[in-house]
Amino acid sequence: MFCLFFLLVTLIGFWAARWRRPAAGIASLEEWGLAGRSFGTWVTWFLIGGDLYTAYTVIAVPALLYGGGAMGFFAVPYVVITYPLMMVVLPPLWTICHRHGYITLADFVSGRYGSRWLTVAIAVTGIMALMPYIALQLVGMQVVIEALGVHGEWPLAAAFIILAAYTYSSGLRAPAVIAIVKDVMLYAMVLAAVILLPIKLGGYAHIFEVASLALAAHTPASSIFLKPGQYMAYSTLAIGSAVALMLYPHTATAMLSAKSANVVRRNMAMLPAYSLLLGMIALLGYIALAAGVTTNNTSEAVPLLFLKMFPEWFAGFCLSAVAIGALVPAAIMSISASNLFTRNLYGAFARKPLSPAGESHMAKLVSLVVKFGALVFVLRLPVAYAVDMQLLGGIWIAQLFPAVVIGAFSRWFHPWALLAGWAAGIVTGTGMVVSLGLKSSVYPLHLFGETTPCTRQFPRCY
Amino acid sequence: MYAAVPALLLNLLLSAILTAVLRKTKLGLHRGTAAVSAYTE
Repeated sequence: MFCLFFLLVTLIGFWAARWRRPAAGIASLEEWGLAGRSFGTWVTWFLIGGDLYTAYTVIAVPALLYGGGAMGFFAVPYVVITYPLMMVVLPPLWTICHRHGYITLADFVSGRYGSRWLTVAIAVTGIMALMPYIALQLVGMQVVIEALGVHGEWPLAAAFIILAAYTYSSGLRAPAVIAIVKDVMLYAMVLAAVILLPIKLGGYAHIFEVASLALAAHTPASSIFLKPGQYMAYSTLAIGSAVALMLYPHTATAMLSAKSANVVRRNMAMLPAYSLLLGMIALLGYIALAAGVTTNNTSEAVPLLFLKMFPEWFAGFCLSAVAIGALVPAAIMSISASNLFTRNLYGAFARKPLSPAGESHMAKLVSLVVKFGALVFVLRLPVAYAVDMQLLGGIWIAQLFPAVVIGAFSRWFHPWALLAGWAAGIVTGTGMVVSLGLKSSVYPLHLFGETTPCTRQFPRCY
Repeated sequence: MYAAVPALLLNLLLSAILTAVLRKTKLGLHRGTAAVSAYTE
């Protein structure tokens, strides 16, 4: 079942190069990197949904609830907050980017403030934040492949080669088509899991009861309810993550591929359907506790739950949905990173501007390098490094807020002031996490003689 | 507190103070290529 679906999406990925192909071909960054800004409401909905709800989301959010209880639910208010924010910010951004032919948010900042160094800072931040995010998609895929009993490095390397090949040939069109398949599979998986599993396990009341007892027995003990000391961490995680999500380069790439600002607006109204899905995905953590799934690696909770509770063919279907869920965001993220490099790093310093065909050729090559880097990251370094870097990536990307979000509405800020603010935010945020030994992004802040409480270290891991 | 939030608040505060200083000292007259606001474009 797993191989069948993987083969299906591979074929779709290569076929996508012909989908909505203009007569002039797709040899430009506008076509390869943004699919000609041609996507309507439904394709954009699947694309953004497929982009933001990654394989690691399906693995990590239930893992957080499985390991740490209610704190893991911060992911739900986080996505509830983010879409109204995006509804306000992204349509004007789309309009400006469309009018001036901007491909990346760093293009926007360059045009807005006319500062090369601020542009480079925005582009470097985006690339640095994306690299570990791509690596985490491969980690999610690796967890699924290992749960199927296949060990060794070759399955992940094979998946990487397939991903690299169709992204190279089809650009953003490939993840857009695959996202439709992925999201339909994901909805089927989650609906089956949240309806059938509680019936098998004696209902939700019983699931919460068993999960509560299991969490109380953890060391340190956790609960299905937040403790007062966790309120500040919970709320700032939700707000900070909502801001960060809006500013990730892959969010911008999916948004800019829409054909109008109204498509973006409609999508921000429709995307909360995925927030409902995320709430259901999160519950899988408690369902795994109630089903008696035991593992020291919380990331394995969901794959083991499927293998334990579903017939083999449906477990294979669910695990392939998760693995395909890694391919879509990994492809979009690598395209975003290569757009940033080509336009805003190479482009900012090149003496001779590249032709549209030259830009797309360079972006294709860079996308291969980015994916290869992520693969090496996963295969040669401990997984904890990717998680640590991703932890920092969320903090770094939030520092683009003044230049990008406020910049969409006002040109009051001075570019050198924005650059100084960006540097201060990056250094402070990184310093806080490093001072905690890279184990948590939740920092006990000492303000006015009081300490903003933090009862336990909480790793943000997706 | 999630470290991104105090870092962003510091970022905003410093950007605003420095912008105010630079504009006051006439160094703030920067030129962007997109010279009008989002809503007039």
